[in-house]
Amino acid sequence: MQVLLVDIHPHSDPVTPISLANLAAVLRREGHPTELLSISSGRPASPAGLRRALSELAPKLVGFTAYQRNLSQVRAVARMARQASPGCRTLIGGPQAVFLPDRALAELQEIDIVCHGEGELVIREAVRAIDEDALDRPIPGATTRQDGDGWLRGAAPSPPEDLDAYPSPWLDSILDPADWEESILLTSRGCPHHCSFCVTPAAFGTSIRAHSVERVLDDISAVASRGSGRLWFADPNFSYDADRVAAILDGIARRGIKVEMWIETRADMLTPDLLRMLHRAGAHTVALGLESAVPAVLARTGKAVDPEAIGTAARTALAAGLDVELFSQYGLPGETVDDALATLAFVRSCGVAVRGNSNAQQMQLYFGSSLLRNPEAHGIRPLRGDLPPYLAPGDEFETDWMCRADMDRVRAAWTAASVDGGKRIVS
Amino acid sequence: MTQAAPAPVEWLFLDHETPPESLAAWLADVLPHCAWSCHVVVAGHDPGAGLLRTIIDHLRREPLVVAHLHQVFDGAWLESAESLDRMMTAASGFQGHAYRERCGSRLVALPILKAPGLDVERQIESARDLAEHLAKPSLLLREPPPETVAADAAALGLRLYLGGPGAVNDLEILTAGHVIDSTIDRMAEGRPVLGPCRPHLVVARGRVHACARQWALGVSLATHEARAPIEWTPDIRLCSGCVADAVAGSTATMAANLRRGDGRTLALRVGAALAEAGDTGPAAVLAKVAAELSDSNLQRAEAHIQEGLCRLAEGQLAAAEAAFIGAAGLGAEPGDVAYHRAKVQVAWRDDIEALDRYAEALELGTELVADTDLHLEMALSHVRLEEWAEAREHLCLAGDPSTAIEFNLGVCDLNEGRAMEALSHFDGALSLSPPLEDLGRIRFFRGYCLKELARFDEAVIDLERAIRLETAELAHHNLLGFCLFKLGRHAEAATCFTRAVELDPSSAIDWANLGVNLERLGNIDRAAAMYRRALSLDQGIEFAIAGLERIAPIT
Repeated sequence: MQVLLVDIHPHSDPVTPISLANLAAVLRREGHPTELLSISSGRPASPAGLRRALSELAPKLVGFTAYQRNLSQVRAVARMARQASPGCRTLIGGPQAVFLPDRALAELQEIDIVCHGEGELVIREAVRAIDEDALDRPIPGATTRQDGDGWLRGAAPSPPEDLDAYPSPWLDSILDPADWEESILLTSRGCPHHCSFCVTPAAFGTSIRAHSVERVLDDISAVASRGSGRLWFADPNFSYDADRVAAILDGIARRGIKVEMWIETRADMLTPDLLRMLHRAGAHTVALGLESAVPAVLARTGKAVDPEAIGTAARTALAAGLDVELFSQYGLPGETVDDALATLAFVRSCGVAVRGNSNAQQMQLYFGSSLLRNPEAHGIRPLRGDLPPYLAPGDEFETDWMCRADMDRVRAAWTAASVDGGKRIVS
Repeated sequence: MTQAAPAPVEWLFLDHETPPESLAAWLADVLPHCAWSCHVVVAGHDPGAGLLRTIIDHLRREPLVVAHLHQVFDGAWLESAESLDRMMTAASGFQGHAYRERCGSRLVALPILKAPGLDVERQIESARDLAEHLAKPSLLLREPPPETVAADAAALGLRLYLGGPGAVNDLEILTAGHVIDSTIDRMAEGRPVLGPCRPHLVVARGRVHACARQWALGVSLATHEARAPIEWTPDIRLCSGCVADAVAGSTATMAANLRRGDGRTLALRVGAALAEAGDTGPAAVLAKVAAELSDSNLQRAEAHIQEGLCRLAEGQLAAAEAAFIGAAGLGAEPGDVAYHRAKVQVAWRDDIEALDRYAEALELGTELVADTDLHLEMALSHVRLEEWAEAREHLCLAGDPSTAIEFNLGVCDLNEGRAMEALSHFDGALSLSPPLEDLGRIRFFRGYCLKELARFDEAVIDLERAIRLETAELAHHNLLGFCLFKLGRHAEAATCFTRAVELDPSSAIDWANLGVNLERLGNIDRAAAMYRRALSLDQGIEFAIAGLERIAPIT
């Protein structure tokens, strides 16, 4: 069955669609011709061109990665797909879909299937159900539109502990590194921490499942064989296991793989030994999750990091010749304007340039985060009462400690301090 | 990856001389083939007319599309505000929906104000009012604003468009801005700066052009009445010239927008790319632009150096020398300047002066080249001056053995009568895997050594190899002919000298050599003719005179 998977980035350059490529790898292994389409401001498409492509390909299923920021475009392309390819079904997955409230489904008339579970498992079952014209039976991990306004929700499937059970989009040539400025690898899923602003534990679980070191090295080799050789790891918690990180870095050097890597790591891991290994393996930048430099604010988020330890790690890494990025955000529960500005001052005091991912962003309220389950309890007030049910407040909220104007003030301070105008790379 | 279609057009530039109604019909056909996030730049139409309706209809039909309308408003801000208000009212339905969906505006109004009747301060004031009430405009000016006014505009985030030296209408100014913006984007993204712009079409006087450059050259794709979808097919051979001209004309715009630094970087980067592509003339012009946009003497010095290098490549040696001297006066590294000036002297074939400059660079220090390379350059100047001992002195300081060092040591030895030592150096040069372009010369000089050592058999092998690599070198044929003569292989020698005189019919010695060999082959009549030809060119060739006397009784 012909499948098309569409990645839309309306306000940025194209990004390697690693999650969709994972699904494509599964489907192609099962014999379903599957194509990927990337639309972005840097890789534009015309409405006529899209219609022509959809009509020529005639997919029976079109799947999308849905984010808060692209849902409008997803809906428009889903409508096009239905018109251009009669009988075509549409599916959304990704962050916006996983925790989409049921009441939102009635408004998303152009979407047939909403994926809540692990994409590789859901898409396989969804394709089977469409192939067998059996959308009236529950699809594990998905909600399916039924005749009228009815919806059918399938129980979540159990994902495999060993991610090597899934094929690799790099090794199966679903993705060609030469097509991308930077390649992305997703080597593990899940996070054991419970940061209140983050949806990862709820989406992927609190135990970490990972690809084997050998599989990761095979993927990195494939990425290094063509294209720019630049890559980064999109894992929510790449450095959960120091031994595994060391084994991957050692393997890169041992195999003689030439890559340039951006790598997120933990402050306590940045020992002189690891710094040497990072250098040897081709890492140019390490990123550390700071969020806030104020311990009381951090404590409220449930993130157990010590800002001073992060500062020390950042300075050590800079002294070792690596570039350093510090992720931070403002508008956190309990955070005042002074606290937010203290974070900016802290980042600068570490010698970290305010650019790229070191540009702070306002905390986002997304479906699935513990903050959004009960915002009032965290001192958060969403601003818009007219949001459609399929959209979360995002950055449109105030807190008991910062009003809208305060948020703007902090944003302006970060922008003024930024050397690249505030362009963040990793969302 | 599936490609939805060829790169769709992202920008449409529409003039005010095409009939609005038929232009609207054309636009209705073209918009669905444009990128989902597209820009329509309209120079001079009433926004209440058909074009706006067409764009709004397109947005209603296509929920995916975001259209940016850059409309030039010609007149006072009040009328512009009223027009804009009408525009936004017409679009309010889907704009409201877009707001609810959090996908931003779907019709983004980006007015361009042009009020030649107002002074610049008043225009800025009008723009401020408009920005507060409706949408942030740009300003299209004919003259550069005073610095204080430019600062006010920058503080408000207003973009100022200014006509370059040759721009005669609004559309030219706006398309030049597009070329500059696209080039800055490519530079920021690390792509080649001389590539094509973001895909665009220009409609002017009823004709559709594939890009701004083709419009300027009068090359059109079709009339606006053609209904077939138009794909963007730029002629990328035109891009270099287009970008060079746009950057050359951007000085006032960059300065007015307080982007002198960006403009300078752009001029230097585009200039460097042009120079690398061999277009050193336009590159020199851009170096001047970079100098104009520089904010410090050191920046100006850098621009002067780039200009000097371009002039040097162009063979404009006096201009190159002036640029380098200018750079020195602005604080450029004296050692660097001395090195560049030495290169000018070399091009002038003044090796004595070049040696002084090289010595200066050596003494002052330069990061452009290693000291060892400077010694090699100095050695080459001495070789050209036939100062073999001095050349050898510098060659000994020129670092690790290389083809160039070994070769020139060989040349020195050979010229000082040490053929055995020279032979050893030429063998050394050959052992260092010389580049193919040097191989012919090395073989020739090796052959020369062997000839000096009277090892003619071996010399012939080297010289034949040299000729295979450099078939048109007169000296190779001459020397091979000589060695073959010495070996008594007169027929082959005659062939060599025949080839030599074909290459240079004024070479008296080769006519004479041909005569000698023909005489030895018994071809007396032709030999006599060759001697006479030689003597007609040079009456002093004794062996030709003797030969002619020798065979005169026979002929």
